[in-house]
Amino acid sequence: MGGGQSHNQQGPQGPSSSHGPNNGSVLATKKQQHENANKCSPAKVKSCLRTFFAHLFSHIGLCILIVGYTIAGALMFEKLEKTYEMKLIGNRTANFKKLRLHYVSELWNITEQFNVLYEMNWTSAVEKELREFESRVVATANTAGYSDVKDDLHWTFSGALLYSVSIITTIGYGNTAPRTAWGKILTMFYAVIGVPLMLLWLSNIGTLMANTFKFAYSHACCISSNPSSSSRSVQTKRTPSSKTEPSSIQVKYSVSAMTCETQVVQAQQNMHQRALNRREQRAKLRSLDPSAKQVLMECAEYNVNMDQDERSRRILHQLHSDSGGNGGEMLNISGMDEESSDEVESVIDMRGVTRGGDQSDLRGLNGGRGGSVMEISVNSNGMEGTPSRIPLLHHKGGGVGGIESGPDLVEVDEYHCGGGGSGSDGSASPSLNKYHLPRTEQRVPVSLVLTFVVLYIMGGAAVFSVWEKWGFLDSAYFCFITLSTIGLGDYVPGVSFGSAGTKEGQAQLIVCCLYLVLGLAIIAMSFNLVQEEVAAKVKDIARHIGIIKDNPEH
Amino acid sequence: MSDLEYERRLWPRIKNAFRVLVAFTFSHVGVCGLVVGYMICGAFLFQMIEKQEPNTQLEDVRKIRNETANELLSIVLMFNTLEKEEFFKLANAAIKNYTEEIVNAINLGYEGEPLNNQTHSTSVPTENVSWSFSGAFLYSLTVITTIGYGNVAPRSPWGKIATILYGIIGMPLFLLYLSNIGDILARGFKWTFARCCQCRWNCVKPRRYLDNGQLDEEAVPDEEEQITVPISLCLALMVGYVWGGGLLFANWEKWTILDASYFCFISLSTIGFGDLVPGDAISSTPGREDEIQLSFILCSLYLLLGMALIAMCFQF
Repeated sequence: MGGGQSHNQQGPQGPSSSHGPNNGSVLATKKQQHENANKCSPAKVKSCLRTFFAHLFSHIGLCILIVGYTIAGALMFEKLEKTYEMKLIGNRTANFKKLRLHYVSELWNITEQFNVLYEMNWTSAVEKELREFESRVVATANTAGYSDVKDDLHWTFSGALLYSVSIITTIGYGNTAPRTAWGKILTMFYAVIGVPLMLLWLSNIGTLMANTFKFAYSHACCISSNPSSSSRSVQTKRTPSSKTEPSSIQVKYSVSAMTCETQVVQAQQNMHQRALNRREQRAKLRSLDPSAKQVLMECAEYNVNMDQDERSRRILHQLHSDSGGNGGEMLNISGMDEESSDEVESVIDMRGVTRGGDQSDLRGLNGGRGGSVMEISVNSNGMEGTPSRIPLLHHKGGGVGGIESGPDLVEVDEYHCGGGGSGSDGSASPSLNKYHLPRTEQRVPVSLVLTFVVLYIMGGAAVFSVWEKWGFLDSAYFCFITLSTIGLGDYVPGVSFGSAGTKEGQAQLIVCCLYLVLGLAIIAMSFNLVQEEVAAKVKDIARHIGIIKDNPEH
Repeated sequence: MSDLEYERRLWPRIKNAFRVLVAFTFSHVGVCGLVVGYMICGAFLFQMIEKQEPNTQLEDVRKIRNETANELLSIVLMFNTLEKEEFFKLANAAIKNYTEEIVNAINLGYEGEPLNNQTHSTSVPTENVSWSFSGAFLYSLTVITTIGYGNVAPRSPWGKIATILYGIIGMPLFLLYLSNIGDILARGFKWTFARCCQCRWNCVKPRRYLDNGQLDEEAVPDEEEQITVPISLCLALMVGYVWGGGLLFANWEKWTILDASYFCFISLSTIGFGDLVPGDAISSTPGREDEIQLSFILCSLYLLLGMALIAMCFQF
């Protein structure tokens, strides 16, 4: 038992020790762990810090890269285009002046023509001149390319910043567009590099935000959770990305087998039943694989250590009595490397046997698929190759435990939550639920995500409608057009009448940049969160309609 | 067989047929047609919604023009003897005002009075080309591909709402189209590529021999499956397409080649500034609306094919 306790006190240190499949290093570090059971070794701290900084830099570094790229682009484009634009504006002003002069002199001529002022004639002549003037203005506006022929400067720094952002996010407003040849060439190259970079950053931050969101959501749910909710999450079928249904069925089967087993154990109403069950249980336990017994022992140990669960103690006792001299092997458990992960998998499979199911069936499931179950329980990055039992050994107090819960994490630990809730003699069962192990993978409902996105759009709409004096519909329309990267450009903050080029206008432009970048990140996050569920739902609908015929395996 | 039996047999067949039809619609070929059909519907929808706008614009501008004329008149009448400088100064100011008003109107989509309409009667101006059928078609295309030029944009509130809804449904549909078409094109391309490579390899690569010394013919189909098209070929294809489009549009729209390639690139990357859009240069000279419409259609086809090619390259 002492060995078990030392394991528990090590906290979330297990995973990093099993980084490589190298036996020697694992044993060595494990030994080190043994020695420094009660304090954090410097090597531990260092490797922790290293992973922390790696994560930090991969996210932060990419953010900084994007920001730097945008700013560099802004400066570059501003330099290229500003002089040309000034020249253009100067030309335009001069042209208009000339035009006006021309027409005013025409008007003068007309007025001189009529010595006596015949209002009608004069007015009609004047109107004709005005109309000509107007068409000249319209033509100039069209050919010059600017939809507005005002004198506001487009290529300020913030204008160029918005321009760069609109390129790399492929929104492309177009209110500011390059006129020089070099500007156009540079735009193309800037886009070729910038768009993939942006996509990379978006996927990166989308995953990060999605994980945070799931974490927050599951915590919010756990706070208000009851046993039924945790056992409900047992039913969650989690399909790993590359492997398909069989392994998830495996795990579901085994997970339910575990709960069933504990329920079997707990369905003791009277002494006779108890004795009978004990005998049954002992028989079942005896029939287990030694490694299976080991794992079961760990589970029971954990339970016993956590809250002195009567039932678990019983299991433990039985296991000990059965295993006899195998007790010593418990010490090696956390150091178990990749090889024996296969054994663990077979353990989990075999546990289904205790339910009385057909043994041959399950062995068929098990054979030749070594590691598929392990893949489920492993971090989606595959960074920690931890066997699945590690979470069973560690305190909840360690927080997240060793395993980052990627979408592939399956609740092998459901044994505790599900089993604890339905015990008749489970005096410790409510307390058991407190120790919710490395967070159960709650899937965030699609409606919540959609509401979040819609709220973001509405919020942006409110802010812009106040700032830019657009209507609410117009602002919402602008937000939608921007966030979907359509980017028509008919509404752009910061360039409305009188505010372009001013300090306020520039601030508005920058806020617009921030808004749209954050909005795109949120959309990436929502895609991340809901894509599986949406795909599953669409498949369901398709199957329902009958487009896809049901597969016999399903 | 009795009627009841026949009916019972008929119903599953109808359901089956329906199922096949729906499956086809969402399959490869069907989704093309679905997207094109969606764009056509969108074109009609936007045309219907947005067509009314220019009339009010026209009215507004006319009103402004009247006001300016009246102002000028009052200027003239103000002076018993008209001083040239005074007149010039005041008239200049009035015209400047007028210019600003026109510019604001242009900002809001005003396109100028058609020159063949000389009277002040309520004759309907000639068809506004931007929101003609092909213009609306191009607009629908730019919405669902998220290119979003912006040279034509909805002015009415209903147009904006319609754009939002149209986009929400259309964008996933277009992505579906891309993935399907990309799939087909990628397979076709790989097959052709494999054939070409096969011809080349047959001359160079030593053939595999089976145990009994016979030529292993079955090795070849395996290689087909694992053919990976080199990235350089994909890039060359894309660059070639952009360049080709550049030549085409330069010819058609009288742009420079740089401008035209720039336009192709910006469109195909779905950035879509809208500073250069086909039909712009031509629209200043009235009466060539057929050409404009043709250029819109051409542009749409070019974009559809181009995005399919990009999707294909991504599949490699």
